[in-house]
Amino acid sequence: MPREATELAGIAASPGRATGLALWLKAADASGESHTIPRPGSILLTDFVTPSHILFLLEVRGVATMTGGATSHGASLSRDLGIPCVCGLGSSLERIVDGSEVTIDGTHGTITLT
Amino acid sequence: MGQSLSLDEFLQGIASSMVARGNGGNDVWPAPRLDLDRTLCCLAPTLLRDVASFSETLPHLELLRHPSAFAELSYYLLARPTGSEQSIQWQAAAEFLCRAIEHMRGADVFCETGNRLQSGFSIEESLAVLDTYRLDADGAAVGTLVALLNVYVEFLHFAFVAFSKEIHGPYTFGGGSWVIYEFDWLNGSHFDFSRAFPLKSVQIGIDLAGKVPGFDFHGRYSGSARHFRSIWGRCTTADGASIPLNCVWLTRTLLEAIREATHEMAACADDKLLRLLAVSQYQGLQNVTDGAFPGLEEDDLGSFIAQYSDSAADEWLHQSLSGLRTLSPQERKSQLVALLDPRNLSKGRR
Repeated sequence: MPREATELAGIAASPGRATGLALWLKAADASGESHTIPRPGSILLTDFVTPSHILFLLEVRGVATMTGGATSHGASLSRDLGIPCVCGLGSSLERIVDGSEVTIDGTHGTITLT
Repeated sequence: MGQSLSLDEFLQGIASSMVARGNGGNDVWPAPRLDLDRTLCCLAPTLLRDVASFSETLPHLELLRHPSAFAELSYYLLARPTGSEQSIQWQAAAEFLCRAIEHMRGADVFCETGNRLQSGFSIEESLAVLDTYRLDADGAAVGTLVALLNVYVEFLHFAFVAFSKEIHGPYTFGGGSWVIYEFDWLNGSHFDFSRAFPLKSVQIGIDLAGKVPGFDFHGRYSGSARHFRSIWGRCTTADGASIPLNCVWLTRTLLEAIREATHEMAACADDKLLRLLAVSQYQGLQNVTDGAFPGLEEDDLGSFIAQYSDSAADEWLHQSLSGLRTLSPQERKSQLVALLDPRNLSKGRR
């Protein structure tokens, strides 16, 4: 039976649209000797963006965060890097598991699990 | 304060910006390892005491740089006071911040129209060197460079990035709308990763061709450095020489420094990180006040660490702030004004 698409709505923070595999990296795990390896072409999912995420941001196609708004630092970095970003998705973002295929739409503020 | 900005206007302006900051969620950047609300509580008594002393020892406000730094200091007013002497210092500090911010901003002090203009800044003078520092780079390269500069200063000045970063504008010149990015004090001495950084500062001017997004009071910018019609950039080296911005070289240099910073911060124990926080606060204030800030004594550090360990002292602040997040924007603004107002200190905030 085909799986039903799930769409979550948040705050449109950096325009653009991208599809990739979800890569979870919470802020507390981003600093230092993280065992998570940046997977080029992924969509980064996190509670909020920290400076330690930058090496991942340079590799991913988009960012979705549980907290923050359109002027948050994660949103600002995404705009400068030219990747779509959706913020403020809350705890519902945790319904998306690492490795799932997702489409992020930073223009309209949605992320869709397909 | 006569015809100038009143303390009430100051508090309303700051509260409006704080409400906007929380719109759609909590902005919890940066430094996830340290609870900054709690840390500010501990630093505030020492820092506000010294800020209050500025009103007597620093009458020449033109010495001050970086309006954002003084806007950010307003967060210290949220800290819990202990005793009437601190209440007096709180109010003196608030009134000094009020005067300083008014002095350093243009007509729209709280950026309510989305403009963020600095008093005393001349776009004509800055652009007079355009031919020397014109930059030939594409939007993606400049956007990446600005993102890396932002991240680098977040590592270096992790509690108060405003000590090192200003974005302001738009300034109209020659049919263009210019936004200025300034990153200063890039080679600080309190972290290994920054000690050998080859530049003191970077200044970038971007003509957005009329498409100017907004700024807010605390320096948050809704635009991007990727989209411009023309751009210039210059750097000041560690020995004070001005050189053109080399986008490729600086991007590589920043990436290397950020990798080092990531490892250094991870290897840093929490108590050492707290000391570095205190030192960086003082160094930042020394920088933006041209060296006029009183020096940090070892006793202050010890006291700071001791207060930080007393978690019960911060309960009030946490309860107050968590309650704000469930209110409507107008209710939150009113509550923030009440929390920030140093005149309320003797009315049960303790």
